[in-house]
Amino acid sequence: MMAIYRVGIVGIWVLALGMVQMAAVSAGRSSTEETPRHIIIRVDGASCPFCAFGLEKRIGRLDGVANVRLEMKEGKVIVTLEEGATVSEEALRRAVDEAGFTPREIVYPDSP
Amino acid sequence: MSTRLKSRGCAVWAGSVVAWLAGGAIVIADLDRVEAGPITFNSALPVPQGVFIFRGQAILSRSTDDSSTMDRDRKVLTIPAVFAYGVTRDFAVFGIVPYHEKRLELTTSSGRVRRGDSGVGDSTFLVRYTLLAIDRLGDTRRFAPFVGLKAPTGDDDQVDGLGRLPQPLQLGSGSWDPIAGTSFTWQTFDWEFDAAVQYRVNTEANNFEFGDQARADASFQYRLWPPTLGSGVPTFFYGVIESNLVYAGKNTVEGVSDPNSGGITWLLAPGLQYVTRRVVLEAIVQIPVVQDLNGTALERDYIVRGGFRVNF
Repeated sequence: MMAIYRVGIVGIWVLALGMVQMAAVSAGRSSTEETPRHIIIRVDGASCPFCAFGLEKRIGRLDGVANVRLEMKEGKVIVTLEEGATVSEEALRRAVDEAGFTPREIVYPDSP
Repeated sequence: MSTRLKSRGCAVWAGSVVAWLAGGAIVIADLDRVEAGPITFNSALPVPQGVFIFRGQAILSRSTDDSSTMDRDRKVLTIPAVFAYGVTRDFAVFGIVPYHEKRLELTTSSGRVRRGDSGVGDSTFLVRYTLLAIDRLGDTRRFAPFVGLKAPTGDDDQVDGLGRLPQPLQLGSGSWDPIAGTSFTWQTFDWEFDAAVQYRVNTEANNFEFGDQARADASFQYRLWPPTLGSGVPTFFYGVIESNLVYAGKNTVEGVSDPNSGGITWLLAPGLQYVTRRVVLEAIVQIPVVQDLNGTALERDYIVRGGFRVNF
């Protein structure tokens, strides 16, 4: 009887610990999704859809870049960084230049 | 080669050669541009560094307007494969490898004959450098000269039942021919204008030399859809009108100028383009407006093109 009781107690503890672990991971994931980091690059010269691919490809290859989205009408490239990652302005400007276009100002909309 | 030609000696072959030479051959199937832009010639739009672009096209040319008595009917199908790569933002390289199907029917003293061949033709390699780029929001203007070389990768000594095919019916010329030109592009969100000039020096091979070719091209593309730009990168649908002015010098056979070759052709071409960030689909019809060809050179009826471009 005591053995069954001890097994039960251990099992409850294991279950409780597992639930706490899952809660911690879930909280961490939520906090990541709630704090995306964006950089906006103003770009001149990208005036047709076929030209957009090269721009997105060059910037997307940079370390730390999670996503690239071009707003062609506004001449803006919206870069989403990976959590904890940084990308230098020099690298971003070079990527735009290598794509064949002209980088203008760089804006950090998430900055306080 | 001269001796081999003379050894054929049959009237049908000789008649075919003369007939073909009389038909002339103005090669207008230039295809060495891959970016979104004009369909029939070069643009100055950038090939981004590290980006590879592939272009495929089918070009059908038909020529039946014959001022001679031979009732010639020439049909040429060309399927070029074009590869482009951006080495740097300003320097791009291009390679064009075409597949040809050439057919000529004509009436000779021996009756109606048909000659031709099919296979890989001469390849062309080009390098282009952007000398000037002026970028603004939704607006870019580019100026980019280019040079290249046509290499004799196509067969140039094919024979059929009537003997050696005339040089213009061969898949290749056998010659190395340098090319030089320059292109200009002005592209906005709503329209694009392109212009280019090009000169090719045709050199001699097999005792035959095509006349040099000079061309001046222009294109205007107007965005038909969407009527206004939305967010992101929308798909564009363009209406296109292009102009091709081509001058071809007279061919030379064994040092003798052929009076029935070469001349000036001006074509106008309405077309359509569907452009996304990864793919371009396009089609165009080139219609001769002016053909001032020498002697009894065979005049072209039309050229139809359809194709696609993909970037990687």
